[in-house]
Amino acid sequence: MVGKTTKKTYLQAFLYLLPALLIIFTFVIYPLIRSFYMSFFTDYNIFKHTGSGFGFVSYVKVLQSETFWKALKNTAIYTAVVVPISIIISLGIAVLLNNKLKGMKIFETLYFLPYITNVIAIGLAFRFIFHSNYGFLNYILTGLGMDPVVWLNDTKYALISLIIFGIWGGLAFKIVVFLAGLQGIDKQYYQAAKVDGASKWTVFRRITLPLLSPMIAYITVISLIGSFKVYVEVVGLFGNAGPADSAMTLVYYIYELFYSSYKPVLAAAASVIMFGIILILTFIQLALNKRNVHY
Amino acid sequence: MDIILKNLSKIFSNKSGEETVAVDKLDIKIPSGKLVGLLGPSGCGKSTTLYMIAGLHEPTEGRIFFGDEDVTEIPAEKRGIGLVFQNYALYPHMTVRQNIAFPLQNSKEFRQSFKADPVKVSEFKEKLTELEGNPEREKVQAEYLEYLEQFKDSRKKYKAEMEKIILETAKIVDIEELLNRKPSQLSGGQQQRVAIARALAKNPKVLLLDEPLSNLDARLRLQTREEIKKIQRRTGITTVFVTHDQEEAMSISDELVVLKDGVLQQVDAPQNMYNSPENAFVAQFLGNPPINTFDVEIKNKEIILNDYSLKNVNLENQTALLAVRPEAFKVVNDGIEVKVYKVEHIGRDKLIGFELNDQKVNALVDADLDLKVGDKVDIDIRSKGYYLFDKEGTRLM
Repeated sequence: MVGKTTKKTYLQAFLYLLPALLIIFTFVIYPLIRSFYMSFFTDYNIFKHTGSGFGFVSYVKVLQSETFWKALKNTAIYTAVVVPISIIISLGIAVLLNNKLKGMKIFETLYFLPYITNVIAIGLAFRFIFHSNYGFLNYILTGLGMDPVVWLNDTKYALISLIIFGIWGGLAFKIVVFLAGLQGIDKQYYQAAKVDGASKWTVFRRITLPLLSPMIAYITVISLIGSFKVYVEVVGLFGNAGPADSAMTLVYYIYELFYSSYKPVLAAAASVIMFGIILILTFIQLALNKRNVHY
Repeated sequence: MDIILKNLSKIFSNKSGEETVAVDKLDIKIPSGKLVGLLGPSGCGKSTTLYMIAGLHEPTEGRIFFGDEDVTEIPAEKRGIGLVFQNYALYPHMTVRQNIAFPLQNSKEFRQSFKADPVKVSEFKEKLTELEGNPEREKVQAEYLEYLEQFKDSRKKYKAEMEKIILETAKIVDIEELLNRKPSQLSGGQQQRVAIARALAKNPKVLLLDEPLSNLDARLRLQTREEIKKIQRRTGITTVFVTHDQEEAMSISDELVVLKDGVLQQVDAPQNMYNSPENAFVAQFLGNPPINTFDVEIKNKEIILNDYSLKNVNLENQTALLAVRPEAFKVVNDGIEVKVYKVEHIGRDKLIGFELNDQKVNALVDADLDLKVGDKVDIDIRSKGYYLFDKEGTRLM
């Protein structure tokens, strides 16, 4: 029905949206406001909702904490590596799959499996892959004549292991989205490009990539936010924050503050800081997209 | 350069192995420098034929020649063709300028023409080492430097030449002011012209257009078909276009090729084809309003339609199909009496409808005749504009 928005239709629409709005408000908006409010207290009782000492003390404490900076650094490195690499790899796989491979449906399903499998379960499987004595990865490395690596129990390699796991885990969803995007590109552009004498690489660079740019932009924003909130992967792979907290991430840090150290105020302050960082990153990202996504 | 199709066939087979013959043993010669229309109802194989000429479809059987050269095995990009797709397929993220430049940027020959030929350079170098200590050497050295001089600033020259070609091509199709726009900012007719410009940029030997007018509104269609004709005249490129619209095909083609079910029906100049169709299909397909057909008997050298004796013919007794063009009827004082059930004015003409032998008939008559619905008139058939076909549709007369 196309028509003017009258008071009646507005009310109707609102009623339809109400159940979803209620859920969002209860589980997203309300906690958001609550933790924002909570973060300004020095001390706060989360059961009685009473606090004392209103101010920025908790923020100062968080920013002075070494663990916070370590978590932020790890998270930033993780995001900076995982986002571009997983996008490039998944784009490559999607393009290969789109080339009308025989049995492509099977491959599609295979690549999508990790997405519907529990991350913790996959993490356990990866523990075996990364195992320093019996792991598959070291088996390959030694086969290639390299020294085996203590992936999960060495502070030098813990973050690298997490990154490898993160890249792999992020592929499924991206491949599926990219495949959908590729299949949405009119075949006639490729025929036209063939007549125009474009090489395969030129076609990819000057036709496929620009036409896929809205998808790439979408995936970049989504995975940037997702990577910044990395947590389950850490638990799945290490069960803790890695050897000597070497794979500590922001969300893990917040979780630990709240549940292990019982410092809800600090946890709230850290969440607000993280919220701010993600917000800024997303805005930068959107501004960049506006310039680079041409159509 | 002529395009010659020899025994050309295309058979598509689907997953369950069923085969569809899209094009069936086509033998056509498309003359050089002409505008040729491939005409036929949907599914007659005309687009498939066009795509085979383009090199995007591989023929199942037969050969394609451009002049003396067999191009059957040559890929599309090396055939020297320009192709305009039905929905233009302009790259949406590129400006008009970039769209036109794209085929040029991909052309190795074009790029190479701004760079020193490596074969020649190594020849020079060889000579120079050979002539070591010889007084001749200096002359060769000078020649070599002079040769290299030509390719100085190659990047700049390349860009300048590219821009020059873009402007020239844009001028041919009248889109100079649109070069910086994106396709989405253009009207259908403008997009069409950009697509033609892109196809012309590489200076093709053959221009191919797939249903060039089907995406335009009626008014623009008239204008654009003149435009296409003009562009073809200006460039002199052998041009083949596909259409299902007989009027469009008749109006601009130098030569018409009519196909049905993948089989060639007739090749001729449009007016010749209209005046002497080789079979019933061609007679029925060409002309608007369409030709009127009647089942008739030929008895004692007369065409008998429902007891009326229409004409004398020199043919054996048989049943036949009589086809009469609407303009081949005339109103007379003493003929077959019919009742007019419709009168339409189509521009300058007057179209009347009547029933003859329980069949609705369209006839174009003198516009000055004062006729109303319900009037009874006597009609007859003129001496030209009617044809007889046998049961298989082959022309008898």
